[in-house]
Amino acid sequence: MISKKIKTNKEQLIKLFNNSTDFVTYEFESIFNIKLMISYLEGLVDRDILDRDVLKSLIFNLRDKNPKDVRRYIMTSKIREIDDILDTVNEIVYGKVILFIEGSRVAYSIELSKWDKRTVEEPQSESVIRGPKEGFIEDIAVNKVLLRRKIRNNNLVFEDLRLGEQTQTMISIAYIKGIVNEDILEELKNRLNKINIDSILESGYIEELIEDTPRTLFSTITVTEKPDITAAKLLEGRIAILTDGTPHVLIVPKLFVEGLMSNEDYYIRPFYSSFLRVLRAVSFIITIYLPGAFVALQLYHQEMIPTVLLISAASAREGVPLPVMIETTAMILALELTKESSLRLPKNIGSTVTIFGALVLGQAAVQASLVSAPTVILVSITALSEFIIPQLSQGIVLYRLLITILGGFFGIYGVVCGFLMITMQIISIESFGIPYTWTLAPINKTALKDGTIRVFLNKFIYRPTTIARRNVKRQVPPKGDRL
Amino acid sequence: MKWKIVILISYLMCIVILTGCFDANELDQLAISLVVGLDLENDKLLYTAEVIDLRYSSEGSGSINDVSVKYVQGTGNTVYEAFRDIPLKFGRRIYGAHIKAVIFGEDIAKKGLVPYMDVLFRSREIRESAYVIVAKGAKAYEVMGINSGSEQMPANYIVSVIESIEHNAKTIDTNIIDFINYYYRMGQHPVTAVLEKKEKLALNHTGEETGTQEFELSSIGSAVFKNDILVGYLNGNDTKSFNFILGNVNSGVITFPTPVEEDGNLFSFLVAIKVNTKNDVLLENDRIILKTKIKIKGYLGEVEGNIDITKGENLEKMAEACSKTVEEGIKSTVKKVQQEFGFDIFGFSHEFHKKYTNEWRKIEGNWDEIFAEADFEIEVDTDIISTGLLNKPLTVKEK
Amino acid sequence: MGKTKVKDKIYTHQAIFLITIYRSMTPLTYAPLLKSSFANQDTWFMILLSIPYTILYCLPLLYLSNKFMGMDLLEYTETITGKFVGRILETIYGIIFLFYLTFFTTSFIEILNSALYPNTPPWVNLSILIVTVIYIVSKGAMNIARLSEILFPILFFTFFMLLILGFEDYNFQYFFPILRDSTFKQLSLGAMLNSVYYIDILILVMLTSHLEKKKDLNKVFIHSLLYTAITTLFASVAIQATLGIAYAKYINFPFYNYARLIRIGDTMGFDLLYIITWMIGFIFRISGYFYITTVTFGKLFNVDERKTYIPITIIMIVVALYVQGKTTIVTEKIISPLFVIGVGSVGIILIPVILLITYFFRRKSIKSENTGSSKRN
Repeated sequence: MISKKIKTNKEQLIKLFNNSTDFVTYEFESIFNIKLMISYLEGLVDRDILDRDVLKSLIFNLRDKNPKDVRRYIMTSKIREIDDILDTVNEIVYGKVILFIEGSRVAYSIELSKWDKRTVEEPQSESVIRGPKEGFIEDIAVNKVLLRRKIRNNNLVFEDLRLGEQTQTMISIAYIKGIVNEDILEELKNRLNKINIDSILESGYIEELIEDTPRTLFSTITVTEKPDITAAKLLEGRIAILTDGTPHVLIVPKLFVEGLMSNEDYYIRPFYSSFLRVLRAVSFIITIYLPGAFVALQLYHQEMIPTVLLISAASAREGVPLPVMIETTAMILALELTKESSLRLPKNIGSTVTIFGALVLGQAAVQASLVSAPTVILVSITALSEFIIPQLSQGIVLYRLLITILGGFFGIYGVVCGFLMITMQIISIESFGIPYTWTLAPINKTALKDGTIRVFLNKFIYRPTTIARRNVKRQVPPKGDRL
Repeated sequence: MKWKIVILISYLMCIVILTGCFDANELDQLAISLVVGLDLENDKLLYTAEVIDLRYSSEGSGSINDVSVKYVQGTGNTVYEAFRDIPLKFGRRIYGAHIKAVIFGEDIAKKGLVPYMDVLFRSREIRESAYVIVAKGAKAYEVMGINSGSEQMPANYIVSVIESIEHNAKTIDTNIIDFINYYYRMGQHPVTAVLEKKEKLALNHTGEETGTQEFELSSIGSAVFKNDILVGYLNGNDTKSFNFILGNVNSGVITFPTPVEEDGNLFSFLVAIKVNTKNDVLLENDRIILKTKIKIKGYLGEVEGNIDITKGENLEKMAEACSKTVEEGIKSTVKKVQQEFGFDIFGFSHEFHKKYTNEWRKIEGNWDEIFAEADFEIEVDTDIISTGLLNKPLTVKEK
Repeated sequence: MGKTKVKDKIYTHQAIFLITIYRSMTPLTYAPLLKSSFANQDTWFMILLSIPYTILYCLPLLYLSNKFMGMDLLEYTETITGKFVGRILETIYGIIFLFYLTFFTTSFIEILNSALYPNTPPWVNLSILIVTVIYIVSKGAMNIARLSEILFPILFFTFFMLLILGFEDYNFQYFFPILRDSTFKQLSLGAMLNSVYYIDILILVMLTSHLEKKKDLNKVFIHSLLYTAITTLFASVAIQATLGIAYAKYINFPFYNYARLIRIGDTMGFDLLYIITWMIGFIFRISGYFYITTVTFGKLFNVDERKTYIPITIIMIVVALYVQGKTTIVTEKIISPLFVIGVGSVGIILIPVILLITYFFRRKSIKSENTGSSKRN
């Protein structure tokens, strides 16, 4: 409860903030002898506007504690009345300035937050050649603005809530009313409300807590840093979750085929993007199964390798100490080592590590006959195929290892069994009630138009029907031919 | 539920660790063999295999130029026993999945091939698309080891010599499947390829690295089997006629005398591009007539003699001369087969079966004798569709 | 992960794919038709002739399933014959399913060990098989159907590719003279034998309660029958045209031999494609039979399906290892084809005929029961 006396309020607030030195309280009087106090956290407010438009006007103009008057003389646009001292705490931590008036049980919260933000720049992890280069930043207000600028529509709705007991992070759900799937929205809100955790430092925490099955290796929630991707997905009826403090936005629900897509596909020529999609699908299979299949063939089924290739592989194996399976597994693990280390190192040492890795692993190892040349080629093809589809890379690595071990111990039979188990796992994932492999199994012809290849834009007539229940027609099919 | 996972995982770990990949054969534990030969020596079977010997070069690049071959032999009472004798001498098991040709020595072929082929089929390693070759007048191992082609390995040389049927129809490429099918078909008998070791004319030039140079292999001709026992050979021209009747000719060369009124032997030849064969049988009053109709399309390869082929009637004459040569050649072959061997290798039994199914059931056991007595008629039709780059032969001088 | 249990839904095309994959595995594995001495070069005609015979053979079951639309085999067995007799019949069906399950597993392990891995002890292969099969089955019928949707294009695309790649070896002369050598009676006999080999209708009628559109049961059956007939036709034409009619009778796995003959230039390794797709299809088939066995036993003993995994697995392992260690199945020494077909006929002809007769006698009383109890969707 806010007391009428400013002194009590001040003591209470200082106690609530545990005597923190960046908590500022400033008492002043207007020329009409009204006692006022403002309290805020240093660094979170815009001092210029505070001094000029609030303090100055209040000091010179405020006659009494009539709310109408007060509001008139606080010359900023967003003012709210609060009557509980704990609410003031919530407001202060978010950069608002609280104004107390002597004798009034009502305090006013003034929106004056300003702090240092990163500039909007191209995200490191998702760079494109063609397409907008803006990326989300850590401030949720700016992120909302970036989205708004893409969808200038009154149906774009943001719903805010706060999660995390200690961090009180602000989360915002964004969707387009009229297109969104109401059931998924319901379910999402349920799951978010069930979250009862200490801290939300990154959207990754939320991702794990609302997922259907966090134990799967493929994520069922899209994570992106780009507003145009987010806008495109919102227009398909999905829901975005923005988190304050991180530029990574979550989008639910997600389908498996989206891992094979990139937003650039829509901006470049259609045939080329269809080719790229097919290439990505093929690389997905290659990167998981190639090492295991080759190990299995070399160990158990040599008759299936063409003779010439067999001879060169056999001659490359003479003198190499390790058996094929261990060698391939070691190379795959070395690949992971290289990837991880090049991520963690500061930029200036990065190139040195690359050269070192290339020299050591590639050149010297083959020359010293620690690894055979075909294995090195194999692992590099595998690595290249993996980098085309960055979204699925977390699952790919582990599956690949599994298949290699299975192939080494059981031959092509092991690879086949591994294939069945992996496929079964991917199929059985559900993302918010929608089957993960939706366009492939069960097959949906209209959605397939966007799934595997990308047809011309004027054929995109329908939104994916499972996700957007209403408003399924995207555009009117053009009359006449316009190919 | 946790219990089950624990048990499952420990079970899997046990399997994986304890079993240690039973069937895994590292590549450097195998002896990859490309050609095998079978012989009878002192009443025992001799199994010769040509194995790739991979040299370990110190640069570690292991390029294919370092490949050479070794020969290993094993003896035994059966093929498989001889086969398993080899690791005792060589140290590695022969890996047979890449065997491209199986050479049988003449002595084995005269005893009958099918019993030895049982192992070739029952084992899952050897592919049934391997060629069956008979070493003419020699043992199989005498024919192996000769490399005077431009292939790296003698095995590839052998295979390419057999596969040269696409350039010249004087040889034949029968693989195991074909052999077995001919063997099973009532009334028809198999014909396979031969390899003969011949001496090469010496030339004065700087020496080469691998393979013996004094010998070369020739695959001209074919071997004729009655059921599966070798009874004789056909020479090159007869094999060519045989291919014509069977329609196996892809690009054959037909040499025929030029129809001019000059002295001497002047020959022209025609390169046949397309050969269509139609076989037929006629049953007339208990007499069987075998008929063949061949249509040849080709272009002139060489013209000798003063014949002006820009004139239409001369072209006609050339075509007719070609047809006549082919007819005579085939006729003489069939007669030779009827008289010398006395059984059907051309497949006329199948035509008879197609046309007179009911009668076939009565006579199918006696087809060999019937074939030997049957009449043979042939009709050849040649179309010369191009004369190459020249129109008149160079010997014809313009006046 | 406490989600509400939704009843598994299987779409029509998924069911068609599923049944087609299962049925096509028989000709692609041992092609029993080519070994019968009934027809030689007219096998293709025999296959076409077997289509009406198959429909006739499966007619009682189809008729019953159509009458009791929406209930699977076990449910309407109980409805028609009452609880006690129904239980007995369900047990018989359970044993039939279990028999086929072990039969397929044993032949799979045997083929695997004789053709591909001669030195590996069978229990190693068997254990991986069991892990895979249990994993697939534990995901439920809906996911199995989705898996069929993914596997179907892979399997059939590879199959047709293998057919086309070996085209240059085809020798159609083997098929002449057409229709002259065998009488129509012989062909019909062979066709009837062919139609009896396929017992996968049992899976179809067990899954009817999951079908999304119940009326499409007949459509599923006819479509899968046609697709399988086409597959069998092409496979046997390919085998006979390349390997020859006489030789094909000697071979255990004709299509495998056919795949080994394919070569493009020097490359000879195309039987790898066949082996991969064959393994995938066969393991999938085994998991389907495992699933319906668990459903049957779960219903019979009123336990959760998951608890039946272990007993069934144990039975499978014991029988497979015992039989495999003693003799061979594929050369049909201990289990002659008649035995296998006989067991299937009990489930497909004998019991449904009994059910039909009982149904006709008790029609009125069943109708009154049905209006009382809730109609399930």
